[in-house]
Amino acid sequence: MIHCRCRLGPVMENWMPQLNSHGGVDDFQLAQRAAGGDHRAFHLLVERHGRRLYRLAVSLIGNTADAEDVVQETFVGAFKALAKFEARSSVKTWLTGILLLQAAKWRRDRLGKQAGALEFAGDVAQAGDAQAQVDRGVDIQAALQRLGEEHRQVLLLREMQQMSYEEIAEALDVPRGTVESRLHRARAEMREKLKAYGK
Amino acid sequence: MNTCPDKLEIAAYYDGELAADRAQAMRAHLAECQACRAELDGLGLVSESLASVKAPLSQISLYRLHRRVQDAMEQNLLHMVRRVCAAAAAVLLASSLWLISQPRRESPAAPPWTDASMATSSISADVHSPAGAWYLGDLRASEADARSADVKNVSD
Repeated sequence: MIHCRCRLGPVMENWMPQLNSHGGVDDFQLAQRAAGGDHRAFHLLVERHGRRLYRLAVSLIGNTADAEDVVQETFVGAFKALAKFEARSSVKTWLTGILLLQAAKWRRDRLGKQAGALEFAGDVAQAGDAQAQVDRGVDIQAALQRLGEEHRQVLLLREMQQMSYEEIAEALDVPRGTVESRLHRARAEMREKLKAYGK
Repeated sequence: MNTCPDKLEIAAYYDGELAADRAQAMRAHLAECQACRAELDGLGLVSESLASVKAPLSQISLYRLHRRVQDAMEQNLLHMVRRVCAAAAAVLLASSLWLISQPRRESPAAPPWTDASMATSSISADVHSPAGAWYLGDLRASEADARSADVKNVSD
């Protein structure tokens, strides 16, 4: 369901009626139309997957501002790579894979310079409402950021994106068995870390 | 399932990834085994923790996302137009250089009907035709008549 966001400006006003006309079309058809030059179709893909990918990006990266950049670059990268999309996986898996690459790139570029998981977690805390929820969110984010990259990825794809083992394997380009073992270790680590935070 | 299953298998059951028959056996085992139920509960706690992490995408962030994508699309279009223009300019330039590099050619031969020598030969050829002979004979006779008339006038 797409709601009108006319207050956001003339650009959005121009998109919305056209986006609504693609309402019943599945992701793959939208990707095909977008590859054929239909920009509105791609905007609808952004509309459908933007929130989900943003949540994943915040959890992967640990702060909202950089997560927004990463999601933007994910969609820009996806748009440029549309012609290469062969539908061997779902659009959701394909976009998730691109996001993971962008997040990894971001980590290489930035995290090397200024490490500190709690620093990122603090950024997320500002976005919360109730203090208790914020504190819990900070702890969980901190625990997440302390996981290894591979473990964090697989855990978030399963728990936040509700992706199946096969989809995760496709997105990460690893065997299914690797997904299972990484997920198991990630969960075990996460339980340990949350225990340490007294949760 | 008498012995406890592997933890990976419990996780697969938790994630709904086990085949139906294995899942059935797992349910039967969990009903009897407290340790495996505790393992399953532990997985649930991790899920619950992660589910509590909220990161809503604000309207303005969504707008910025659309705007960024739109910019990329327009830039892409602009690049495409530039590439087409550059290709067209290259073709035009190459064609012009090729034309310039060609040696200057002689003027093409004039069509036969504009060639005076051919026209003359054509007339002379016609002389040998019966009509030409008749015309020439008539002409010569006229000339002979004129000449005799002149001689007569002079003698007069």
